[in-house]
Amino acid sequence: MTEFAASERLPEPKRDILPLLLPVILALLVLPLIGSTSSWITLTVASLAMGMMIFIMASGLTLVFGLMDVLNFGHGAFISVGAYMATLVLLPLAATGQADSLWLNLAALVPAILLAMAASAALGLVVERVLILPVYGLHLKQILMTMGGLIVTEQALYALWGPQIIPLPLPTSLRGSFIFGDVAISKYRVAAALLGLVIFIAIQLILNRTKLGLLIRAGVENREMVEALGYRIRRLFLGVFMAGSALAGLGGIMWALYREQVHASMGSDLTVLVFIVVIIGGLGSIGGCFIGALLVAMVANYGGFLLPKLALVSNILLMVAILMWRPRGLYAVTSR
Amino acid sequence: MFSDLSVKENLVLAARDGPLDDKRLDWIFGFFPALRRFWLSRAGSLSGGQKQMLSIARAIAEPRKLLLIDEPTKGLAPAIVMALIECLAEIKRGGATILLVEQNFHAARQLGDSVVVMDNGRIVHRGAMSALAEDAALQERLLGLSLEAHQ
Repeated sequence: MTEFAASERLPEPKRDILPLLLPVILALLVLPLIGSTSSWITLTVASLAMGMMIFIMASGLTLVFGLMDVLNFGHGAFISVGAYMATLVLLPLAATGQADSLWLNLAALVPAILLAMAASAALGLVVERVLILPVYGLHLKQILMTMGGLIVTEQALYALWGPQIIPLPLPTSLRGSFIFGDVAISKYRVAAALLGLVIFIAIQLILNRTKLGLLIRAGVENREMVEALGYRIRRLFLGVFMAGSALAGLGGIMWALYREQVHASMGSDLTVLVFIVVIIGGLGSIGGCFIGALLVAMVANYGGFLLPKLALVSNILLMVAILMWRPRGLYAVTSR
Repeated sequence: MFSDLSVKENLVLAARDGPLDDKRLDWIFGFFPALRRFWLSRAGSLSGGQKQMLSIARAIAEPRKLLLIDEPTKGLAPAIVMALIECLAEIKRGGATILLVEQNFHAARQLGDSVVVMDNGRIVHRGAMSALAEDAALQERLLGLSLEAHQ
């Protein structure tokens, strides 16, 4: 299509970079408090890895919020299902996963990831059609339906796999640490941070460089007008919902490998964290979700090290502080 | 119009049936050159008249059989109104049907074949536009303004 190199630009609104600087400011502020540089690096890398995993889980939820104003309290079900699906591949292929070869490890890990994402996406399809479709525009019913869906899924996992915690050892290639002087950085944390970054960039590219992304951004701003243009936004929403569910499933397997265990309540445990990230970031904002996830992870890691007694409430305190500063989140995309 | 999207993105979305056609885009820019100048700017930062131009450009980004247009001249400078009339007249010549709601009789009479005048929600006159355009007394009675006042 035609590009106009000589086009003029109107004055753009000032770029809001303060939220972008927050994680950097926070990291630099705690450095003197932590005292040891090696501990600070270890905690920062742990925060990056944890933040990226939470971002992967939360990214779909924020788009669903922004696009269709749907309150999905059952998002955690996709996380749990993703993790359990991974056990179906990783446990039978334990020998491959524990072999001393990167390629053999990947031969177990990649199918596990694909199965986790496919199963979560399929569950997303069922949840959207059966639980959410009948209650569009009805927030209270959405909460009840999706919360009910989460409970049913959790109980179904208990019934199928039993109440015990299932150990899920890391593949050999992801075990251990990179050693730089007196700093040890876990290989898995580096891999998780890199994968999260790749997914963030991929989502940004899709949103900003494709017509599908353009439709999603337009739908977040004004979905009625997208419908008026003749696009089937319900179909678009279903696609986003399934993609978000698949990402939650990927986040589930990453979290399970991070903790090296799987249990049915992991999804509901993480739901609170994911919601805090979505609210902090601003409903519908992928950039806000990314920064929110980093902040939540940093507060959890730095807070756990510096003030262990405050660790349980640190994320709530962070959310309160951010919302007092910006009541609609770091980047307000929708008017909701 | 989507305020957070650029002029280009708004038009890309308006092209429902495929990619934007460069020739049609050039044709639209002939009427509304400001859209070419601010192609990559956020639609939300355009002036009121430019936003109106963008709304109209979106409606005609692809050939349509029927256009429903509500007060397109509102907020536009007289020179742009002339360009808009020319643009809609060309669309009409191409065979499209236009249902236009317009308070600016000067604009409406250049485009209309048939006219319906409404007052307080009721139709008070229906007929050929040419008959109304030639009958100054009827215009004054129906529209409450003389043709000179319009011009």
